[in-house]
Amino acid sequence: MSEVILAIRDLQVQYDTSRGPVNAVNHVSFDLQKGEILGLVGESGSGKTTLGMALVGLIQKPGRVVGGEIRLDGRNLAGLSRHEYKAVRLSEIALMPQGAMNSLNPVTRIREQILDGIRDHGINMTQKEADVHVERLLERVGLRPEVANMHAHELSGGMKQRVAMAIAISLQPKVIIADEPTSALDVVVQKRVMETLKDVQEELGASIILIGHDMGLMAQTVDRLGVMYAGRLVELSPIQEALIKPQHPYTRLLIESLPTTKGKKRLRGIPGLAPQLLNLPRGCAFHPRCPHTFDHCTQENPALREVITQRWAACHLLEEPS
Amino acid sequence: MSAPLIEFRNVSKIFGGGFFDKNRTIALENFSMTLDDNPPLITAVVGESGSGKTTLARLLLGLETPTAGQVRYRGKEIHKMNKAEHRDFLHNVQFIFQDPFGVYNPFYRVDHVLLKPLQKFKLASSRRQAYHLIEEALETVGLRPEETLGRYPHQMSGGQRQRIMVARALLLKPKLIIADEPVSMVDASLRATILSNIQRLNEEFGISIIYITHDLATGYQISHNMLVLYHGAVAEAGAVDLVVNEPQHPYTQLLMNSIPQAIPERMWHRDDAAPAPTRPAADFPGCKFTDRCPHAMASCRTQQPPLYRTAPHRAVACYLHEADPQGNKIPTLDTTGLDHVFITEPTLYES
Amino acid sequence: MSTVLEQQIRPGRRSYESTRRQQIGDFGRFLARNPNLVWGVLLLLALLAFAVIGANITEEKDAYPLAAPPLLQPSADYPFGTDRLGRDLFATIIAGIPLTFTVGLLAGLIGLIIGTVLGFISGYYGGWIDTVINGTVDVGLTIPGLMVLIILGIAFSGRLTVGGMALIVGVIAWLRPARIIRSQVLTLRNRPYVEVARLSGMSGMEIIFLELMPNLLPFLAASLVAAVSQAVLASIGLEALGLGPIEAPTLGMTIYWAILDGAVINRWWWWWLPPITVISILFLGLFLLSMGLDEIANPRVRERV
Repeated sequence: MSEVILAIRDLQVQYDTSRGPVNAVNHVSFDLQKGEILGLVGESGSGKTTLGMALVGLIQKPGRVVGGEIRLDGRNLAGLSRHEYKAVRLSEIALMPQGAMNSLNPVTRIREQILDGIRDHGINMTQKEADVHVERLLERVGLRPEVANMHAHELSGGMKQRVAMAIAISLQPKVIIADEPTSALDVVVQKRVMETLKDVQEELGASIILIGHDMGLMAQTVDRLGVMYAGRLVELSPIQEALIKPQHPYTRLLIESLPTTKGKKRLRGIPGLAPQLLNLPRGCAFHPRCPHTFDHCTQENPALREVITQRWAACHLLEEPS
Repeated sequence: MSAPLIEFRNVSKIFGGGFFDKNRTIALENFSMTLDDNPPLITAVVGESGSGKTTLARLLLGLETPTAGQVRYRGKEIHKMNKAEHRDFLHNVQFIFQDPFGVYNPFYRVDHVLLKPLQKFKLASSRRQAYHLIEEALETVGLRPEETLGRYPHQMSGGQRQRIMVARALLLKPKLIIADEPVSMVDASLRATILSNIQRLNEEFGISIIYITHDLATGYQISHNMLVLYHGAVAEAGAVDLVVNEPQHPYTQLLMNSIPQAIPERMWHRDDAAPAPTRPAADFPGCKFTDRCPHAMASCRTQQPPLYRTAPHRAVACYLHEADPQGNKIPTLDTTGLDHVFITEPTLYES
Repeated sequence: MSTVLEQQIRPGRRSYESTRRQQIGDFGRFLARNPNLVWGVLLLLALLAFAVIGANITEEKDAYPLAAPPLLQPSADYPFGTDRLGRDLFATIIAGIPLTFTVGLLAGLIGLIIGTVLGFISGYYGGWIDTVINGTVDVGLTIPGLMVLIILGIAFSGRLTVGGMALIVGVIAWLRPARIIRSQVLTLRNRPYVEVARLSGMSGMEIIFLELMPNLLPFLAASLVAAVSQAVLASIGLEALGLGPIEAPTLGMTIYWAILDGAVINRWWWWWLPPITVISILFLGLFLLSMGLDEIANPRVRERV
């Protein structure tokens, strides 16, 4: 039973630099199912963070959304004004930003920060109702009720991240965008926080887009994986299938370069340099680094196609000969 | 018989107060280790934040002075060296730091960071020769000199900048390189490349490496020996295969279970949550992992366990290994003998 | 295949490097974003141009008493009129501008050099030397500078030259730069690249001059302008009180004579208006310049491509 909660079509986000415009997100389309966790993995310049920000309407100058649709439950968010987006943010689609630990207000108590967003949406509660609500939220994310009266600096990194989680779920959104929620955390804390996130997600029935660069973390957490390169989506598959039999050469090389503790082997990275968005190669952006490049790759950029059922990839190798 | 390359002898480093201040932080406690370069090997120092691994690196580079104990290079205490000895030390002990941006002075082109040490250590007789050496080093790490030199740091990616730092370390032909989280701020696709470069520095150029990281997986892949630090004390040490694949210390086991890996054989298991990590008070005499340990016993609280040598190439600081299953007492290691469990021959790789 | 060294000597165009054209374009855009800098420089240059052109059409002796009939209103012969002692006020102003600039620049430079050296030493080395220098700066900044200058001015009254003025003002001009430079050095001292420099065998002095100072050039420039402004203000103030070089036709002295002889009460507007106007333009120029330099020095405002 699958129901699409967020449909993104041909999304394009452009940045104006002094050397010309740059497409940080370049015609990206995919569906997010209700209740699923979708991972978006990519490196510098892949556009994954920009995509996340575009979904919550937080793209600011010199960037702007220049095309495409963001349909949340049927309603297109891409055309909304700043004011209209404010009503949607947090209540329907929420963000756990990168470095959430550093975006907590150092001066106000945690309680106030959680209630801030709620009040902003015009929801009024009595003092008692507010207290109960905050306590329940904190409990949901694995924090003791005493945390409500503390200040940000009294909390550890993991606790701060949980507070960011509590804020993100405070209005029971349909979609949560988690942008590298655990990148600054120690490995043990990371596991705990991710487990809590999964529990919370299940309880809420919300969908999550998990943005990151750690393939291992994706493997442990997500249902489906999207791989981004140079602003485009180059692969989208269920996670296990992506790991066992990746379709796109970039995905394959990425997985092969991952160190594991299973057995010693020669470490091998992906040759070449990350693409410069200002100066993308002609045709497929990955072709200079791809071991399987052939003529067509230098001419035309491959479109994202469903190459196997429920598996999409953008690679000329996988296309049927015309 | 020449003095060992480096030697830590009962080194403690305490921040924020003297020996008796309750609010002090013990970054490193009574740490001893000897490293020789015959043959040169890669030793991984694994730990999370607060483990003391960065303090260890800084002590080794002479950027910090020990509160107690001595750090020696070739038998001489670093802070008691004369000018010539100190220069020799600075030349032969190199580093690769974590942040590939902060290490560059934004005012200069990247050439500056490569030329300066050559000049200061008198490794080139002329500018032409200096550039010749630089070009060689850059090519060894897979960079093209014509695309690298003459540029400003902000014109390059983080991965390129970090590779330049690896080239710089190689350029000076040191005896030892301390790599402190060299790839944690670098893109995933480049990590394997940079780490394999570091491995080459050891295998082809005979340089000893101390690889400091929080990532057990990369530590496992490139090192010969490993030691695991927890809040300033050694939890476990030995040949990397044993420590990683048969961890005996509950902390190492916790670490192993928490690393997210992308292979089905290593999926996360839900475990009964060991409480959130806190640093025990500075005057707590017992094992620092006690409050999080599922096997904690009374003795754990009263005294820090010694290092038990459970195999020729491993030692664990945990009372669980006081005796073997038959009840025979397991020999302990004197703190200064930590390195006796390290292997001294590089092992061969599976392909 | 040429080595990179040859390319250094004869730089060719590398793929990502900006061309001359792009560099000029970048500079132009930078100026467009920084109108304060542009206007400040223009105003100051205009004043200087005025002084230079004026110097060619007047004679220096006309700036001194008995050059012309006294108290003449502005006319074709005497564009700014004359004062009570018969000075040609146009010539006086023309002579005064470079003198004021000189005092300001000299005092500003003295203050900056002393302040920078002390700021670097105290910021980088720390310890007791920092305690001494910083303590002096702290105390010095609380003492009213003008009072000190007045005392010094009285002590040297009658024997003061323009150079002497500069030295006296320099005595207080070094305090603020020292503080600013010290706090900047404290910020930069723990940057990784400074540690890298130490580990590369560089000495403290080398690090100060080669690693830290280049990054502080915008701050030094901003401090220079601030010091010059402060120096000009102080010198004019002293002169207006009559404590400056009595013989010299500086702007401040002109004001002194104007006040002394009751120019305002007697409605001799051509006497006090020109010096005040020139001083105002000078300060406006210095102010805009310092705002412009501030934008460069503040990295948050500065944009990188």
